[in-house]
Amino acid sequence: MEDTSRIRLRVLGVVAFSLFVALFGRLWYLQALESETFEVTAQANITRSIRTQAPRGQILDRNGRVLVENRLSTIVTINKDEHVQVLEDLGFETFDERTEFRREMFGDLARELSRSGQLTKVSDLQAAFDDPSFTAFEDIPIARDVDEELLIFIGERPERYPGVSVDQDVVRSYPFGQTAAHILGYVGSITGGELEDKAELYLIDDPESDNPADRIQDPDGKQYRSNDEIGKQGIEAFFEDDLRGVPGTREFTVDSFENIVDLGEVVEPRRGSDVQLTIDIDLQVRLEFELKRALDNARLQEAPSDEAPFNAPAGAAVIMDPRDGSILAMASYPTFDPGDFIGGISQRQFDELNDPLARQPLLNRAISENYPAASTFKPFTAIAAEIHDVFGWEYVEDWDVPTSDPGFWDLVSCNQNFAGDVEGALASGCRKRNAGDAQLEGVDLQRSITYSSDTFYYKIGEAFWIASDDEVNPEGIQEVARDFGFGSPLGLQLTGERSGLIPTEQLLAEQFEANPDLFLRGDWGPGDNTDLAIGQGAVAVTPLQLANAYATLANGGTVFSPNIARAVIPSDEDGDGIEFGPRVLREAEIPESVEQAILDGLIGVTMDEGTDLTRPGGTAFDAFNTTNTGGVDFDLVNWPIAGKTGTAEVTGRADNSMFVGFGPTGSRSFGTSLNEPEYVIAVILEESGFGSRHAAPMVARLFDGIANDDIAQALTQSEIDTIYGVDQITDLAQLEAAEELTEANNAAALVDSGGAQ
Amino acid sequence: MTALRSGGAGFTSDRDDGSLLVRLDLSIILLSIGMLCIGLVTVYSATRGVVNPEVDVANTSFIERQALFAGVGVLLAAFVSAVDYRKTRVLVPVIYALTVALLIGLFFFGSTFNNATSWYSFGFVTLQPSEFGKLTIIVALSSWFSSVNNREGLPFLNVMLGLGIAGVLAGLVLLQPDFGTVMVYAAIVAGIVVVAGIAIRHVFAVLGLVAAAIWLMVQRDFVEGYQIERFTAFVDPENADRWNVDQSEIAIGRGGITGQGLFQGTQNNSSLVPEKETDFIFSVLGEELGFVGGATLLALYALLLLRIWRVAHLAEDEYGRLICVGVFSMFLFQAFQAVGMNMGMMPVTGIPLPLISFGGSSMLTSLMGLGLVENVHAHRLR
Repeated sequence: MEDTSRIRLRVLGVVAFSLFVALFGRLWYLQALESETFEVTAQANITRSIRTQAPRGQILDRNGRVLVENRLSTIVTINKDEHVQVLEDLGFETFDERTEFRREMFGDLARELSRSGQLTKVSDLQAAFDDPSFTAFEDIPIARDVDEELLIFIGERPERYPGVSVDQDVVRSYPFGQTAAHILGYVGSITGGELEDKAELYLIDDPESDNPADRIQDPDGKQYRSNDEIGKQGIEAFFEDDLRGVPGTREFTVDSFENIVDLGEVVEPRRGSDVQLTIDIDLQVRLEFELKRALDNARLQEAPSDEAPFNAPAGAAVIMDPRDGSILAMASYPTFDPGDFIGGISQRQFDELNDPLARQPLLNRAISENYPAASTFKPFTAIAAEIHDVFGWEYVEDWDVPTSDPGFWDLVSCNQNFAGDVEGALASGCRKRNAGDAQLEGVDLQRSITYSSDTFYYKIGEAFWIASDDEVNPEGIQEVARDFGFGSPLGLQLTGERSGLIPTEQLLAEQFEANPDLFLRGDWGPGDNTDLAIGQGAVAVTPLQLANAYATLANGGTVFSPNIARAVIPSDEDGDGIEFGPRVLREAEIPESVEQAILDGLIGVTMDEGTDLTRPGGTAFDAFNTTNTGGVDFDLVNWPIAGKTGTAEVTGRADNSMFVGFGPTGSRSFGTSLNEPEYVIAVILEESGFGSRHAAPMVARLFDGIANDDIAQALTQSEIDTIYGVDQITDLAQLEAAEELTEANNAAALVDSGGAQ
Repeated sequence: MTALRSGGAGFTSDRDDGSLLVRLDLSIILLSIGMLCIGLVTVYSATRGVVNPEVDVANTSFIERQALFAGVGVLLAAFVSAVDYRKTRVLVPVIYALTVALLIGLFFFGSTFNNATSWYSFGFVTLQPSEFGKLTIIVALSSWFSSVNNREGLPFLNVMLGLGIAGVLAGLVLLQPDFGTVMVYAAIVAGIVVVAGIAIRHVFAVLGLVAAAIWLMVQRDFVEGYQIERFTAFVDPENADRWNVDQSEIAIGRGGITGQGLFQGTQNNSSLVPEKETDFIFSVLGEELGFVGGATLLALYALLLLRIWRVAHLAEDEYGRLICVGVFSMFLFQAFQAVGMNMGMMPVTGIPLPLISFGGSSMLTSLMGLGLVENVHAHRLR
């Protein structure tokens, strides 16, 4: 062998050696050093998980009765891929042939669905079929909540309905129909924006990373996907995170062709937590019934020809417990059926529910509408006057000095003497009048409330304006109002609570600056103070705030953040529950000196019979002692009620009829029993006229039912069906059933036959 | 050389007495049988198709064919090693002509799989002439260079003529097109030319010519676009072909030190690695038998190559030595390329792992190549 050849052979050997060193090195790197990384990737590579939807938690009333539950619903789905494949097998080769077949198929299907009780149009089916958010391999729901018999019908005809199948889905169910719709709210498909917000919610720190910016999806979280159900309003929205269950997963091992080769871990879905409300469903049914009836009655009145008609289109009412701030019932009219949202709601239907002309049935007026407080505000003005020493200041008599009320107040600030020129006085805005120009005698603090004298409060309001030059806080009334919970949300566990408005000099200036066209002026004047004193002008309150402020009067000064939820009850035993105890916001000052006078004034509203026109008695005396106005002859001595009517002026419309009251209370001056108030009821009826005429009788009827323990047990719709044979599920059936079961029926008959006089 | 000889003692006999059997290198036989066994088990794992033992029936058609080819291959290897290579040298032109004819015949009678017309199909089996072409190139070039060599070195003209001999076959294979096999041809040529004594300056000249040829082929669209892409995929993470390599790397990486266990590889069972019984067979072995299995196989290759190298070293004549160098280069390149591709070190080209990958022609070619080496071993010292 030649030497060169040997050397060259060695070169070849060295090359081979180096290459093998490289191979061993790489193999070591992959299998020893980086193995763990690949292990993770390999697992993810072959594991597919299918999510199983978890049922939402139930919503219960204070006694554990189920207000919202879940039920199985039959849905019809179509799978495009399967549909097209079957059609091709059947010989429909071209796109046009298949489109033609589908047109006929949808026609048959729409007819069959409509026959089974689910009105369906061909265009609905086509639209669902064309929905781009579904892939060809997904089962697209084309009709929801259909008759179960369709299962047999469609299942037997695969050649006629290729790719169509009938499936079952869990949906919300409302045993009491429309009752408490605004409280319960509704659920719907998650929107893109909500999905983004919620994705953020279920991110946790990556345990395998030190970088706090690295976030991963919480494996135990309640991740959302598009088309997931989410609470949109009311309790469903506020307690979304509790009500929503933890989705389960079923894992599969798949091959690269996505064939399932093995079943992996199965994680059962966990039902969401139940939410128990403070609502009493019996009282709720009764309240809604009375609210609707009061509005119906108000609508029967004939308005004077030169005034706005009594449309009585809407209203709201709240019943709460002043001892702990819990809401017992809350109603808003007009209302809606949360069942309409099952399986999606059409845009047209949704728009109707939000249409201002239809008075926005979705709006929960009890917390989301601002109303003038009107005369119901007077006790708070009186408290402010006492706290800030306005009583007895210059021209303002002390609170316990009876005076004569001429029926008007000429503003001192105007510094004008109109003598006999009534027209001129009114036109200048310097003269403020009582409602109906009523001239009253013996008006002290108590009677000012009982008779609802405006003049008494005009004086106080202006005194705050004038005295502010001295040592009096010019915004003493606003301060007291805010103390009692007006002007800001109270923190009820519902979405959409509005803050109302307590106007101040600064606020007015800001509003004027922001929108000079809308506001006539930006300077606060004495007229603003006098309007404020009687709860008019820019003063705005929600029915909830009104009830809550009177609860504070009733319980001696405790301002609650009201509760509508009592507890969150986890579905499994080891979950964390939440109990909502009373939530005290603050103690509001009610000066002892005037407390009894205010209470007596409020009790006088229902108990003071009066003597003549100058001493007319309580504004709600009729409602609580006669049946003239649809009220009741109530046993006030044993179950005394304190309250205040309100007749709120709304420009261009009929007055809002208001009443807010609490009971059982009591006063020695009226010789009644003495009790700790357990109920506050606030009612506002829009465009319905005097508070004494409609709101007060409605509250009287409610207190009558409560005091006599005569609130009928609410019936579920299936109970109504069984007992009364009403197969159509409507709120009317519920109301009719409630009507038959309550003695309030009699009162209603009286009102209806008596008509509006 | 004494050390080397004694190192192989026990398995070999370097004396020229006794029967043919005694004069064979027993190490090569034992090493290749060991590798055949590993190959059969791995191919079975890759092709049995059992993912759910309770339902699926194992597919044994692959393993049966592979075993058949291994048996036939061993017989052919024995046949190839039997008659002194020097005596059959006169047949080299015939073999060469036959190979050319077979390659040309493909254009008329060949079957096409995966866009390449590389096979003769005989129902039960298919044969790939380009595989056998590897052996043809080995014997033809060995014969040529051993006959034209002189002590002053290899004249450039002779180098070029040698390249021409290989080039005809390579050109025909490129037309199929089968880029991978041509790369093996190139490796064989390179090994033989280097040992045959090419001058350094000629190396550069040849490399220049090869580069120019490749450039021309790309320019004239002679090379399919996908071939270039596959070739460059391993440096381009965005490339679709990179996916195959990623899956293969995941499989091997997941194997760890001891592997997932035979038949337990999820990447394998899920068919996530493509061509797993041929080009990506090493990923199955790596996943299921881990570093222990992978390193064992690489060690077996290294030992086999060492024994072949030793035979080349012992060979008495240039012809025999160049044959061994050719087989050495073929095994080295194929093993490095196939394993390297599985581990993401080398571009994706369809090159079978010798003695392991499923495929009849490759199996026969590898075994006959070893038969040639045994022939050289057995017929020296005459």
